[in-house]
Amino acid sequence: MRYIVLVAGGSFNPVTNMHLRMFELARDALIKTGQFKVLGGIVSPVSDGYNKPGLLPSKHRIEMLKLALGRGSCSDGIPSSWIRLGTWEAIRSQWTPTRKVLDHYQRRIDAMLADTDEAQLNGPPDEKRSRIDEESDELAWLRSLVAKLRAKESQPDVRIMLLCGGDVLQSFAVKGVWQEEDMVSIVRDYGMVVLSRPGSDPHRFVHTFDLINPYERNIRLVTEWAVNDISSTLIRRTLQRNESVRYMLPDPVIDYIYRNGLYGSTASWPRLENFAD
Amino acid sequence: DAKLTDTVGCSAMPVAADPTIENVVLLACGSYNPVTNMHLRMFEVARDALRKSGRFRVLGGIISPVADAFGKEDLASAEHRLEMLRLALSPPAVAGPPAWIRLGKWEATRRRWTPTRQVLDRYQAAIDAELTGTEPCSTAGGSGGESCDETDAECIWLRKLVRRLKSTAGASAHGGDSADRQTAPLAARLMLLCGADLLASFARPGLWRTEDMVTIARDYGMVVLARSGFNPQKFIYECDAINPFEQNLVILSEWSCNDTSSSQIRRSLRRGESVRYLLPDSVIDYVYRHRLYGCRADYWHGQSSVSSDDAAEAAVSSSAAAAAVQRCSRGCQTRMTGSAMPAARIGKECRACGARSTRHVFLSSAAVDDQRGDAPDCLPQQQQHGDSRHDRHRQQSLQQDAASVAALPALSGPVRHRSHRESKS
Repeated sequence: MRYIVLVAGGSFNPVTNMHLRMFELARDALIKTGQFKVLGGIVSPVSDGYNKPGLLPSKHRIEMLKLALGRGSCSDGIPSSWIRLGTWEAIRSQWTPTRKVLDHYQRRIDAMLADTDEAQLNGPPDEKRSRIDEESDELAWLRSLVAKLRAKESQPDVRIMLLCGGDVLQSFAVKGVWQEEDMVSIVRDYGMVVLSRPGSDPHRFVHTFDLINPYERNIRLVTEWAVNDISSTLIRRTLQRNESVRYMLPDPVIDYIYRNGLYGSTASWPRLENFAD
Repeated sequence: DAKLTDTVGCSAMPVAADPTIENVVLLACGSYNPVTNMHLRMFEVARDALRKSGRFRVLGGIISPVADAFGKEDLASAEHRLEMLRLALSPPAVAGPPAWIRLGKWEATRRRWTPTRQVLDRYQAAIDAELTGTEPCSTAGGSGGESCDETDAECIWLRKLVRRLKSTAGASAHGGDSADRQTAPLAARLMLLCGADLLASFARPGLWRTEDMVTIARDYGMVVLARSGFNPQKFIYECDAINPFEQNLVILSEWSCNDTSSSQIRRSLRRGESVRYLLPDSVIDYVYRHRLYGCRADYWHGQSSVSSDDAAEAAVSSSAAAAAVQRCSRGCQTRMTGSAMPAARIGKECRACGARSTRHVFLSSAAVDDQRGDAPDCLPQQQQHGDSRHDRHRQQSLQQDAASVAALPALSGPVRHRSHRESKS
């Protein structure tokens, strides 16, 4: 039995219900295979070094993610205890290739499982303790999960898996976007869960793309039948037009956007003219 | 006669020189079994599009869920559906978003099913009474007309809206208006908000009275949101009854959340799959706490990683077992005594409510939904295929007046213990 931690990268500019739903669908799909248990999920927003036009500072994107995951300061709804925010990638000044993000979390997990720490090999025991104290939230949480797991199983198999949409998978074929060795490493060593809309054809892509085809067993394709055309792009456009984005992303996130006037929105929720109760 | 489609996909009406802006209240009917983000989003999209067109001012919205007398299998009780709607529309945790959509309980709590046109008539009666300054009285407009109850919260609210409208109009009339400006008499009306699937159901023989379709299109108007598989523009072109009034039919072709359906959600719940982020958390919480729609309570509440994973796994692997739970056709969640039955049983009575049916009762939830197919849930009961006896009853009720509706057999009755006489029919 393999224990999976799903990692999803992306801009999250802003986070939407579709992003959150992606985790839920992936988890259901993995469990259904009978080969996996899902230990948790990590959302890893991209750093500002990505330099994409219109990308809000990570400070905002991180806060909105916290609100969406039910752990922000004024969130409603039930906190998602199995999806956590990972800030390692976001706080780095340079952009980090996806494969390196996966490597980072896998290495930390491997160290937890082996009950060693990279620094311990080189430094005195005191250093290890201080490193753990400074550990980020998601790593501390992973550490507790791994500890619980090790209480049940002697040598649990815990792997990171990439979670993404069909557009990311298709971007494999676009020259210059991915390093070949990264793509191979992702499909060979980690595996992917890819969420697609009905009508797109990810199966054909995996079938025809030579580089990843040998590892197609590791690429799990999930169809999202309750089609949600909610993209961050659409959200930004709608906000710019002072139109409602309600029910496409969590209310506390919308509230944050209006209070801070983000994405060209005016500072308040759209109202009925003169007749709001 | 090309229709312009601007970037939000709102089909622009032919631009008229008429400067009057029409005051509307959006009314949406349906099962809301359960309410989803799509249902809520429809109101937001419609409000924005109507305002953007420059032709309308949206005063508010009303959601009117169907009564239990609908007789649809798998329909949770009105009490549950109303409460889930109330949770979905509740004052938000964050300050700011205006509460502009009301929950209309009148239709849901009636003993019999109410045609959509009559629901519109009822609320319009309140508006008209306030506009003309008269007391509420029986509406004109055919059988089943209802006078507006003085104690109905939505009627009171509608009258308040009209009063505010009047005072605003009065104030501006005192301003220095140009003599050229035409002053139209103050008006406000309901407009039916629905999906393209409901519009398409106009074509099904016997489901809608022609007179009702015409009244809705001519006197009320509709805001129709696209659903995949339906072509509302084409339908309006082809439907003789409503085509003359196409300027009253606003079609919104581009919007998100357009395919989240309640039947998909019920299916996922049955299968122990996640429905999170398709409907408000508070509604999901309610569904699990009350074990509605065949869901497994431990899936939701055991949300912490490994333990919840066990729960999720149990939910998924035992979804087949869950589907075998026999439930009363009225939506009672009482489990039938005895072992799970694999097939329909004829003539059995529900212990909780005494409901009795002679056909297709107590099927597993999965079998019921499969039999019915993916009928869109925003349709009023008219659209639901399945039991042809239901359809016959619909046709009967459409053609009889209110007095003879009372003679309909027990199937159209409410969810409670029946008299022995009724249950025998």
